[in-house]
Amino acid sequence: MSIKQILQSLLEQRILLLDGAMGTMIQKHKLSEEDYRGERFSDWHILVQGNNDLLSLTQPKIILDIHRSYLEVGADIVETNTFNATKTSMSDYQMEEFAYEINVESARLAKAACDEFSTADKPRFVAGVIGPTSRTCSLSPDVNDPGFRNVTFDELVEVYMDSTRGLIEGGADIILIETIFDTLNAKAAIFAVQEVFEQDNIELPIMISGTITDASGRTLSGQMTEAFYNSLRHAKPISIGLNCALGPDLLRQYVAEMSRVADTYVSAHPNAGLPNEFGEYDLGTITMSKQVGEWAESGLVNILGGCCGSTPEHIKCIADAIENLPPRKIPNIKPECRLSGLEAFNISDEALFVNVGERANITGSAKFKRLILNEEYEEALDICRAQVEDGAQVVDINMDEGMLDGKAAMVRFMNLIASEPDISKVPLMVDSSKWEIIEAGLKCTQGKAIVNSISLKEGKENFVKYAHLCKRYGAAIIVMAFDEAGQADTQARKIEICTNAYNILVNEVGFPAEDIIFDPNIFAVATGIEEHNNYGVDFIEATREISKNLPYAKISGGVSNVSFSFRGNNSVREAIHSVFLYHAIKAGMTMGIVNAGQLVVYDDIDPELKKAVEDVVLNTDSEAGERLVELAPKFSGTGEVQDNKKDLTWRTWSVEKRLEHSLVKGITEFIDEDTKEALEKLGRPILVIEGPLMDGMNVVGDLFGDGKMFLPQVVKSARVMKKSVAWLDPFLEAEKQECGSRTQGKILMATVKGDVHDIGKNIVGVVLSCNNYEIIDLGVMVPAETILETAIKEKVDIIGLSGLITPSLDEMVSVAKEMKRKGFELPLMIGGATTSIAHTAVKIEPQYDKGVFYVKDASKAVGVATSLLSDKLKPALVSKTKEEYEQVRLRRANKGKSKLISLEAARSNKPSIKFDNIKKPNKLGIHVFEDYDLNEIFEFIDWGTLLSHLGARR
Amino acid sequence: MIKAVADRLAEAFAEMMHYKFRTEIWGYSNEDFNNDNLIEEKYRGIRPAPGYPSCPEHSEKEKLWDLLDVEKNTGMTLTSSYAMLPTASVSGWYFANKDSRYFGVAKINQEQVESYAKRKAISIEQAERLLSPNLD
Repeated sequence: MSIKQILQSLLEQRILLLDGAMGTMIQKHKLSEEDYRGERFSDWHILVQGNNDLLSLTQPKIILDIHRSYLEVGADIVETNTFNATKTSMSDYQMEEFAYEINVESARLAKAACDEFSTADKPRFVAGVIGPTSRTCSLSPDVNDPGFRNVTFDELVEVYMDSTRGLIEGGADIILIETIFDTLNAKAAIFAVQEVFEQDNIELPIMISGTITDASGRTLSGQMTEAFYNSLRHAKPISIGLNCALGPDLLRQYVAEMSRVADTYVSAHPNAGLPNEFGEYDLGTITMSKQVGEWAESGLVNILGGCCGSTPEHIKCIADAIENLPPRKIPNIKPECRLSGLEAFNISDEALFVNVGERANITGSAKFKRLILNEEYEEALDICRAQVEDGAQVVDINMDEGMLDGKAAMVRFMNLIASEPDISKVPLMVDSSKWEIIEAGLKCTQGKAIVNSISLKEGKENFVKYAHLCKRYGAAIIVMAFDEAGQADTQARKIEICTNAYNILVNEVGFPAEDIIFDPNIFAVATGIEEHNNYGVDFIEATREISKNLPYAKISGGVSNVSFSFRGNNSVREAIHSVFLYHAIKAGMTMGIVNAGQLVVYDDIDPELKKAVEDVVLNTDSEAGERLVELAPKFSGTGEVQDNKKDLTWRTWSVEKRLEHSLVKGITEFIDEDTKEALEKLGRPILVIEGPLMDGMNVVGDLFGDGKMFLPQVVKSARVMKKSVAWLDPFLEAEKQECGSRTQGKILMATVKGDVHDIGKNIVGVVLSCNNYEIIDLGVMVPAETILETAIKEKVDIIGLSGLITPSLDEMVSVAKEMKRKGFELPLMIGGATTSIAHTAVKIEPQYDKGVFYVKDASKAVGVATSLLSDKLKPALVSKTKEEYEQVRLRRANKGKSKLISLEAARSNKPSIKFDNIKKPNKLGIHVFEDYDLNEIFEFIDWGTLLSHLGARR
Repeated sequence: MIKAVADRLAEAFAEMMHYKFRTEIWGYSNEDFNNDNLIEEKYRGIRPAPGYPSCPEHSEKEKLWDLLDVEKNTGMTLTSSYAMLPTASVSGWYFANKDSRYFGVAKINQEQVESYAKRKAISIEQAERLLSPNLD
């Protein structure tokens, strides 16, 4: 068995124990400068005290004994004394030349210690530690020049390869890349380790461990836990986890997050608390082992140990605490294209269309080109930022320009983006026709990016080579439907090339299928050349076939190509884009490079234009192109979007309709005056929000769900909504004031972590405060920790959680679990657009037994809150809710399990119906009535239903 | 607005026709005309339709369309998923028997699906597709 297989079989059986701190143990020896130097370096020209890794050469006995002390208490894995044994870090002592030797000797010492303790039942392993170095690849050390770096990816790869070889030579069983505070450094380490494996024909298991630097939950370079995982999972590590910086109490939620997302084993080695005012770690062994023991009980971890401040006593206590506890089971995680910037971005099969921003493309945007050529990078960054704000979920960066050193410009711009969190939160698409520029770009992004693009254009050899490298850099790829015979234009050629490329990638390169995105080439239609007429259909049909036959592969394309023959006529172009996307998305197109700010709503295209465009896109007949060309001038320069600004007939509509129109079209111009008028008409701000504004947003939601509106447009709608609510805000506040300060009880409200939607929550807050409840609103993106801490501190009576996006549902479950774990007694209210009674009953309520209440809308909140805070009413509500949820659960559990009787038994059980005494109809045959008198029909109208349909009766 | 009115008119016409059938065309019933009674369905017989809980299987509309030559006589058409066009359309059956009642078809098992497919002379796959909301 290989080491990897042995480790895997052990990890399936139990939680493995990692050792504790090295530095803390060395400190206890209070070593002097002379001790550090030993005989060998007695006349070294600079001071070396504090160079702990050097001790592997000068005081090997001390290091060996520390390893022994951890093995004695049961550590399965010990870490080599090589945290700073890279040339980069050793340069602080001008000892670069000894880095390799330190790695070899340190690994030897750990190996020797392990050999003393290893038995067949309990084998011990050496984890060769690769530290972060003292420099960061993603951050500038110079505040005045955010694009500057004092170390490059290539330099790090070189020093890490050197360290890796040393560790392997000394006998390391595992390579542990740890204390990662800059993910790009870790990507370089992974690249180096895999390069060594390949060159030296050896393979060891890799462990990865990152560091959350503070309570914000981010690494030093700004990534959230899941984003960090997405960036590094290409290493196929045997384990991934977190260490250092925080004590177990603060680290828990991030370990839980890692446990949820990782499809490999999870490790954690926290500090023994936080350093006290003397810089010492003083978390007691009992407390620490209790805290990490609870992680084991909760099934969060597979490998546990300690970092700074922990000692063999800590590890011993942890060993006792986790004895007989089962290891975490790796969850069944679906293959999805998992990208990241600072935040994770996963494209699942159910994902809606992904918009890639196209404006930071020097070949496609004259403005961007001018800015880059003039080195006006600030303004160029503004273009990127605006795209993200407008709803681009990925940003494409292209620097292909003859007048420019494309590689240098790519590096400069990528580095600048890294210091702009508003941009770098989304994944980047590194776009170039030159591989060297793509590669340079990949070396500058810590997130998981998309390469745009590689193809079989130069033959299979280069294709395979580039695909291998993309895999090693940890990037998804766009594969153009292009081979040595040329670019695919027909449906058959597109499918042939994509299928061929897919098979090479999946079967020969071992490329993850979910990270393959095909671009089957969108070409211009209606060019007047007959052969081009079917290009739209060719793309759409090829897309349908590819998404059906090549599992997990995604489809993308440069949408603006399709309308190229109408350049200069933006309204017709936008109509073509919308119609094309509408059909392509239905066929399975996953993402597209589009101008996120400009897309006309499918339903809003002038019917005459839409028909003509549809005929062209779907190539209904050979005259279609000509018809559109003839029609085009009629719409020239006045696209729907512009039209709305000029054609103001909609201003004569009712105020409700006008608000809806503004919301759907994303027009902010009149929203203040319309909101004012609606308020005058309806009397109370809350009625405006719950009435016309929510109605309008429902229309937006329906259009979005039908694929007739795209995210950028929805973002615009949300902005209009926000503006209207902002205008109403003073009135809401005033209403609140009038309600007086007498309080019925305190309610804490928060939109859960990962979610920024708060309109619904704010409405509930207002309604409740108008009913004399004191509301403590923690805002959006609130972690469970904060919610629960505040609840205790403020002594609230009820906790209310809100959220709009689906992942919030899981987060609510986590909060409920935490409440249970921490022994809360408070009732929990659940609300928000994606929440439901079924989810509450099936997923949340079983996690927390002190009462979970699903609140369908703001109007229900008061009733629930009142009952919950009344000793008289509460028991009834609690038992009614429990029963209701039990029913819901039963119904769900019974799906597919109904006890059905046989058909024969059912038939013998039929009702006896008498057929005697039936009169023969007066008139037989078919009777057709035409032009029936409406007056007679009117007598039969169900007026009640009609009126309620028309909204007259509620 | 127009849609709501059209829907109500179509429903009202069906209601009126039902009345006409009971009292005149079939003529089994002698009843007082009172709209509220009608809405509360206080008359003999029932008026279900394909898509009702008692007949969740929409393709039965096809039979109606064939029997009554609906498309030629009224211009109403069925889509591939048996939705009626125009949308404000009503179709259904008038049952006269005084024992007839509305009921809901609950979950059915494979045996019933097979029997249904055989009686309707369609494949089991087709039957499963048509009956999918009721499959256990």
